[in-house]
Amino acid sequence: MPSGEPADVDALVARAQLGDSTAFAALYQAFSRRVVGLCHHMLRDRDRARDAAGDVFMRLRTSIASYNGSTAFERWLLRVAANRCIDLIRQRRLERRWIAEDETRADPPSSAASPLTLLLAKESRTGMERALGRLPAEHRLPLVLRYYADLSYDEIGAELDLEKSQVAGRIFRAKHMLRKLLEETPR
Amino acid sequence: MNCLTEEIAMLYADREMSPAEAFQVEAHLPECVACRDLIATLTEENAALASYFQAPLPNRRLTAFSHLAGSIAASITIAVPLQWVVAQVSQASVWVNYVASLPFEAAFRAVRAFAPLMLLLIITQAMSFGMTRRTSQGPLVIPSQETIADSVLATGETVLVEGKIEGNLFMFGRSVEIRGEVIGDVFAGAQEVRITGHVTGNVMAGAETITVSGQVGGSLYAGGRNVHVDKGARVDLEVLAGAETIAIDGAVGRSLTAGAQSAVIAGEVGRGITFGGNKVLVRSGGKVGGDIKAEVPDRNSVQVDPGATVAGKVDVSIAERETSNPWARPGTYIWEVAVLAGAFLVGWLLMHLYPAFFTGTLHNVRSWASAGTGVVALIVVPVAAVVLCVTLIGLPMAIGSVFLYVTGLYLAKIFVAAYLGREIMGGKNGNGLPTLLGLLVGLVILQAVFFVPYAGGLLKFAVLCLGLGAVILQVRRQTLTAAAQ
Repeated sequence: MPSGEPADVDALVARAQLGDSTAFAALYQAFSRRVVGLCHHMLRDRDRARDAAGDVFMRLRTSIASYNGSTAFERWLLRVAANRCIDLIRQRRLERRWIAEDETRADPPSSAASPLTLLLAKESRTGMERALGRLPAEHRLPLVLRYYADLSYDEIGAELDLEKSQVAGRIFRAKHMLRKLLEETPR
Repeated sequence: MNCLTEEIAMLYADREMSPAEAFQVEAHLPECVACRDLIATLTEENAALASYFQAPLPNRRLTAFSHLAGSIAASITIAVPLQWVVAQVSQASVWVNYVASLPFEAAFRAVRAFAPLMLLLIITQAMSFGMTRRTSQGPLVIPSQETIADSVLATGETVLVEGKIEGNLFMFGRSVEIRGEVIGDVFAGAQEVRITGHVTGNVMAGAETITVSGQVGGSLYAGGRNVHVDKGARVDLEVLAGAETIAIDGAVGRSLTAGAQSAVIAGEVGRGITFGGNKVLVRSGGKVGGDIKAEVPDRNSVQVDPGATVAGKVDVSIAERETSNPWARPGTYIWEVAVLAGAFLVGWLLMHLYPAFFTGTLHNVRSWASAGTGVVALIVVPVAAVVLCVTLIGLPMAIGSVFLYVTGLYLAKIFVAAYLGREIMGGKNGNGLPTLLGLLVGLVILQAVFFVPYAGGLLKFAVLCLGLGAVILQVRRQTLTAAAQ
C-alpha cells in the first residue's frame, strides 16, 4: 500500500460521492502520486502525465458516482486513469501502430536471455526507464497495466481491446524485449 | 504432463490460469526441478518489476530543462555559424560588386531556411533519451575499435571519430573529422569539417572549410567558405551548397545546386548543375551528366574546358541588378513563407514537447514584468557577453549566454504570436494552449504588422521585449520550482 493512503478509503469515497470537497482533496492527496506514475509510464512524458492525471481528478467529481465498491478504489481509479491515457494516445496518435494486430511479425524470443531480476538488480533505474521507453507502446502498455496497476489479463484486454491470449503474448514479448534491451546497454 | 513452456509458466506465475489448469501445473511441479526453477525465477521477476514500478518517479524536471537548454544551444551552434557565414559571404559579394542575382540569393536563402529545420531535427534528436554524449575540453577521439549503437553528440576542441556509430552523429568543435563509419546522418558545426570515412546518410555542415574525401551515402548540405569534394570521394545523392568556393574533384551522384563566387568541376556530377554566382568552370576531364543552368554576370563566366563533357546544354542567363523594390521579386515571398513555416514548426513542437512551459510563458506575456525583464535582457546580455569575453575564463559563459539570448529572440515572436492567436481564436480544451490555427494566425498577423513602416519596427521591438521577458521569467520560475523540489 502506498504510504500516503488514508486508513479508511471507503469512507472518503462515500463522502466524495456526496460531493464533499475535503474528501476529494484527501483522495487527491492519497492517490495523485500513483495516478501520475501510471500516466508517466503509459505516456512517457512527465508534463503530459501531470496533465492527464489532473484531468482524471477533475473528472473524478462526476465519474466517482459510477464507482460501486466492487473492486478496491485504487484499482478502479487506476483503470480510469489508464482509460484516459489510452484515449490520449489514440487521439494524438503518438504511436500509430500502438495497437497493431500482427503478433506474428516479431521473431520468437530466445529463451537464453537472463531473467530480469538479475538485470534489474544491477541496472540503474535510469537504465530501466530508458529500456521501458524503447518498448513500443503496444508492448509497454500491457506490461505497465499488469505490474504497475496490478490489473488482470482480462482487465487489460478490456482496456486495450485485446483477447486475453493476446495480452499474455504481449506481456511475454515485452519482458523478453526488456531483458534484451537491459542486456545490451552496458552501464 | 510435459514440461511448461515459458509462456505457460508466466501465466501460472501471474495467476492467470483457470483452477483446472493451475491444478495440472501443480501436479507437475513436484516432479520437475527445471519447471520449479522457471516458476520461481518468473515470480521473482514479477516482484522485481512491481517494486520498480512502486518506487517514486525520479525528479526529471531539472534534467529535462537542462536538456532543452542544451539542445537549443547545440542547434544554435549550427544555425548561427551558418547564418553568419551566409551574411559574411553576402556582404563580401556586395563588396566585390557582383551582387545578388536571383538564384544566388535563392541558394543562400535555401541554406538559411535550413536553420529552423536543423533546430527541429536537433531538438527532436536530442530529446531521445538514448543519445550518447561524448564531450571533452580538449581533443575527443572515438577510437577505431569502438562501436556506438546509438545517436551521438560529440563536442570537443577537436573531434575525431575513428570508430563506428550506428545512429546520427552531432559534432561540434573547432575541427571535426570522421575517419570511421557513421550509419546515419551527420550534423556538424565547426571551423573545419572533414569526412574521410563513410557516412551512410546525409551530411549537414556549417563550417569555414568542409572537405569530403570519403563516401557520403546521402546528400551533402553545406554552408561555408570552402566546400570541397576531393578526388576519389563520392556523394551519392545531391550537393547543395552556399559558399565562396566550391570544388568538385570527386563524384556527385545526382545534381549540384550552388550559390557561390566560383564553382570548379574537375570530377563528375551525375546530373545537372544549377548555379548562381560569379563563375563556373568545368575543367578538362570533368563530367556533367545533365544541363548547366547558371545565372552569372556575363557569358564568359561559364567556361567548359576542352576535354570536359557536358551531357546536356549550357544555359547561361545574365544576372540582372536587384530591383529596388523587394516585393517585385518572388524570392521575397518564398523567404517570408519559409520563415513563417519555420516559426510555426518550432512553435508546434514546443507546444507538444513542453506544454507546461508553453502555457506558463503565455501567461507571462501580458505582464509588465515581462516587458521590463525583456528590455533589460535585450540590452544587458550583449554587454555582459562582451565583458565576459574580455576575461578569458568567462568565454564559455559568454558564448552560452549569447546562444540562449539568440534562441530567446527567436522564440520571443513565437510566444507572442501564440498568445495573440489564443486570444483571437480561443484555446483548445481550456488547457491554456492555442490551437494550431491560432498559432498560425498569430504568426501571420505579427509578420504582416512588422512590415508597416516605422510603426512595424517599434512593434517588433516591443514584441521582442515582451516575448524574451516572458521566456526568461518562465525559465527562472521553472528552475526555482525544480530547485525547491
